[in-house]
Amino acid sequence: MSEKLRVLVVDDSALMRKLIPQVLGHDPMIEVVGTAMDGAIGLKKIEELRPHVVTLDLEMPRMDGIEMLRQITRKHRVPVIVVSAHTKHGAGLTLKALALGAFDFVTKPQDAASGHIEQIGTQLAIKIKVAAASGAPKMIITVPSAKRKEPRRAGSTQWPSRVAAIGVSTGGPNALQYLLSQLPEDFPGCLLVVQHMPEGFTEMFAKRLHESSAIEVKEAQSGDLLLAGRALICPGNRHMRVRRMEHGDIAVLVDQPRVNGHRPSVDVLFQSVAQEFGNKSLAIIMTGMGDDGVVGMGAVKSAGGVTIAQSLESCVVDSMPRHAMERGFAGRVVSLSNLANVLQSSCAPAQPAAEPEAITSPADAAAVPGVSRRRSS
Amino acid sequence: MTFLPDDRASELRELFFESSAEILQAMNESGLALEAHPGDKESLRNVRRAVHTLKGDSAACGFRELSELAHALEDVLTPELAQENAGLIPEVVLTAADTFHEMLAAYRNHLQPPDGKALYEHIQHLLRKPAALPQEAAERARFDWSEYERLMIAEAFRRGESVYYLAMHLDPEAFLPAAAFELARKALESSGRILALHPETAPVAHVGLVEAALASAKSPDWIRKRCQVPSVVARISVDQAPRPESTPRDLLEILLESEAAAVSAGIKSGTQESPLGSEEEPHDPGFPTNIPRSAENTLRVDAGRIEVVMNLVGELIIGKSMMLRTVNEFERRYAKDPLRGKFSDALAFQTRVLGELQKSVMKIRMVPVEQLFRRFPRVVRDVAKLRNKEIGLELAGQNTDLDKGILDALAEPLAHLVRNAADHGIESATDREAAGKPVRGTIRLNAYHEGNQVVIEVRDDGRGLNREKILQRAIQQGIVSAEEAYLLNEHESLQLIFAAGLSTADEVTEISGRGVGLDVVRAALDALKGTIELDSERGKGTTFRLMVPLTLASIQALLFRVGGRLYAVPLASVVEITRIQSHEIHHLDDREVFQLREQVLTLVRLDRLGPKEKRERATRTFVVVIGAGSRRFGLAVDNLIGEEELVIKALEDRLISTPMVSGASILGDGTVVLILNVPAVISHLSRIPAVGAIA
Repeated sequence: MSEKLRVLVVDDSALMRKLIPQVLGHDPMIEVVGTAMDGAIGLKKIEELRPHVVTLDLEMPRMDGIEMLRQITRKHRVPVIVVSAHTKHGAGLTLKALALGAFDFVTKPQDAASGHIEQIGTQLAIKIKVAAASGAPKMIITVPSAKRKEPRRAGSTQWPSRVAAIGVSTGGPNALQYLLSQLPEDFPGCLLVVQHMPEGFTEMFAKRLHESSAIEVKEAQSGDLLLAGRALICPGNRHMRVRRMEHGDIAVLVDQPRVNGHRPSVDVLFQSVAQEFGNKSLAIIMTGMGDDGVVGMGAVKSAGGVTIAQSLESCVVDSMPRHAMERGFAGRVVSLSNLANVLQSSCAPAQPAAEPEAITSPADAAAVPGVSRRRSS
Repeated sequence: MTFLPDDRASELRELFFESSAEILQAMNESGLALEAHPGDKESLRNVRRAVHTLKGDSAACGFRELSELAHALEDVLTPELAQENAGLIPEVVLTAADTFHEMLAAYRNHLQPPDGKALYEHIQHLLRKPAALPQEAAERARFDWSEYERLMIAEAFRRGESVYYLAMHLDPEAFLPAAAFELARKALESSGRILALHPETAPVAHVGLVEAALASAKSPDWIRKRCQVPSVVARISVDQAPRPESTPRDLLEILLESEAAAVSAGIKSGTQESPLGSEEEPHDPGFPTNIPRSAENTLRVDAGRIEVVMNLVGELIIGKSMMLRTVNEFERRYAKDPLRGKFSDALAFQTRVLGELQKSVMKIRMVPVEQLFRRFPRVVRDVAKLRNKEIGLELAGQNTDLDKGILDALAEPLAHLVRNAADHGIESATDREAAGKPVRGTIRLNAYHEGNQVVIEVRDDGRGLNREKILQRAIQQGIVSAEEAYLLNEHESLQLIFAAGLSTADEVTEISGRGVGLDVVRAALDALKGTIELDSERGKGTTFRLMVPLTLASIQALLFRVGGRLYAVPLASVVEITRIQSHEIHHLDDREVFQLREQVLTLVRLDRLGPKEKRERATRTFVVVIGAGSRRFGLAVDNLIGEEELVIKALEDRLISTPMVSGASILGDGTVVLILNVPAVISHLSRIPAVGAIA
């Protein structure tokens, strides 16, 4: 790309309006063309400056970030990267923004004196580039706000038919919400999810998913039991493994160093699942930047387990599943809309499914028997 | 610092300090608004946003303590919590603003910031948790078992085993933490079957507390003795584990239910009445909520840069008057020359543009006094609360513009006056009631332009000043002699309160102190070439009137000559110019006075400022009548030169030994002209009634 990426920074903090352009200024591909202190000005500047990507603070006076995001997705189709605060409230807003079609988010720098700010700058720059290349999310997945009809039963008391590990990054919050909301209350499997997300965000995220799903979704704690109809989300800044115990299987959280630059890392989960469950293991790699989880997919595959990659066209960023496919680790390729069905059938207790044939092109996914291809709007 | 070069980082820090001052102001305002209207959603949102921004900014600058505190605060400022604790929130917000302010001050001076304990307590209170310090909380055994551990425990019960919960406080003096932990675990293993253990593995750092669930056939006492490893376990408690009422069939369901019960029990037991906010009634600080927010397109510029531009404009103005003289000279010499017209056209054009330029530059420095007034609702509120008074604050004229430098310099003196008014001026509720006044006192701040000056008034409807007491103190402390005091009229005697060391408050108070005060205010005003005066009526109230020049940079002045010297007075203070015959001058009490229509005015001769020389007095004298506020006097001059725009050059103190001159300026031809400090002359006249004593 010969032309520089034009970025608009919208933030109500004067400090951030100075700091973010300064940090991004180190990247020769990126040019901050303007800043705005609230949503109303931000929208005006989008018209005026035609940026490729907008970085957006969600909590601003006058028109706040959420409202601005609504308008952007309605009118401008510019990818938005949320620059988010590291709080419960910030996490909630950020997840809402992602549901509204924000491309991705970074958390605000925590300490200028440490290397942290450098790291966030790099992260932001990468996300800006990917966002510019991918464009605004093509479709915004709308999940019918299927509020639980009745107070939940106390929780499952069944051991699961199967444990499925899911690894997902950019684009994940919406994709997961879509996937989990499709699963019925009596879903027989147990899901272990690593979503790249910072500490604190995952708790909110699990709560949101729990609200919109029939199955139980919770942020994992060490010692949580793997139960049927339950999804455990790995908390940010920890790794999740599985351990088989005398009385049942449990999730264990560990603090080992970052893997592939991530904590939680998909690879850690997948490898642990492969090791503990062998040919019973099931790994699904979904939308995301980078290649975390690809090696783990290989481990599951060579242990004789089932590996599934989300089809490229249904990803916000397809690099994680693409790498898995390129290395031949993806046993099946399934579009997002089909994934719930495939999960259901793979976990059905009657037929412990293990389909050996490799289907690598997205077009073939539609041809999987017994699975009807549906499009989400 | 790996990323930002030092100068950039310090630039960011500066920006942070500046913007955080605004954020704190917003917090204060919103806090007061919340006090007036508890639970107001918009104000709460504003607070949250302010805290949020502060948190993010301080984190980015590496001010961890501040950021963490702001973070903790932000988390409790949820609409739900705020709704439940509407009475508490304002206090929390205001405490937070104070705490943050202190922390910022510490950071600015590279000091260790205060710990913000009071604020943490507030936050804990909101969360309805006991305000325990984090480490203490960690020391308390919680037996917070994981699902699997609970499963293990339930299994043991089902098998009919006795289950005990153990809390082992390890000796902090123990040699190796990991070894101590291992010894404790060995002891546990030898007393039964370990169902659960926290922490699970040997810690790297010291662990104070080991929690365990143990299935054992031994008695609790036996276990206690066994596990009390000398010099490793300092304290130990062994308790029978609560038995889950389990039917073997649906073990997990029961487990999960008991978890839910534990959660709700925890919520209930934590509930208690709030000790804060119940006794005090929210009062309205008279805070206007619709102050216009600053414009969207703002540019932050270092004040020093504007200063440079100002100075250059000043030089240009001097250049212009040089040019003017030259052109005048040219016109005189070559009256017929066609170039003459072109010259004056060009000059007129230049003059106009220069005028615009100067006005624009001045405007840059002008800010509305609102910026200053905004601080006072908080000041008044705090004093009112401490003194248990009811005080309303009314603001007027917030949009009056004033030079930023002057505004900043006024902040402290004005705050002092407002505090004084609230503390000493306004009487207690009972006194007010007895005097037949409304219980609620009122302080009114007002600002307006008066000529080239800005007037700021602080008015209270309190008890007023006791003139006799002031005079008595002033005489006691040798500020005036009894004879002088006798000559002072009511107004003049009140001004004595500005003299150094005079305070009439009987009670030393935390807020206003004693002794220091008004003389400091006066000194600040003097430094600004401003004046202060006061009016007071017993039982009705006191009004302080601060008058400051609109700007310190340039003035329109009237130039005149006295005894061969060139002087100027600000045109704004010139009331009129008249001529009097020498026989119209009368002597009264040692003063020279003359009558102007119905008024008798003192005549001031500036040549008495210089060396005394005998000169012939002209029979007819020009008199410039000068006024400041309500005071007037006549200035005898020899020649009137005319009006000119003067760029004020500050004079160093050592160059000038009298306060009667406020500055100097250079004319186009290089002549130096002294600018008369009108307020100083007037106050001089009021204080010392003798005519010859001006110098």
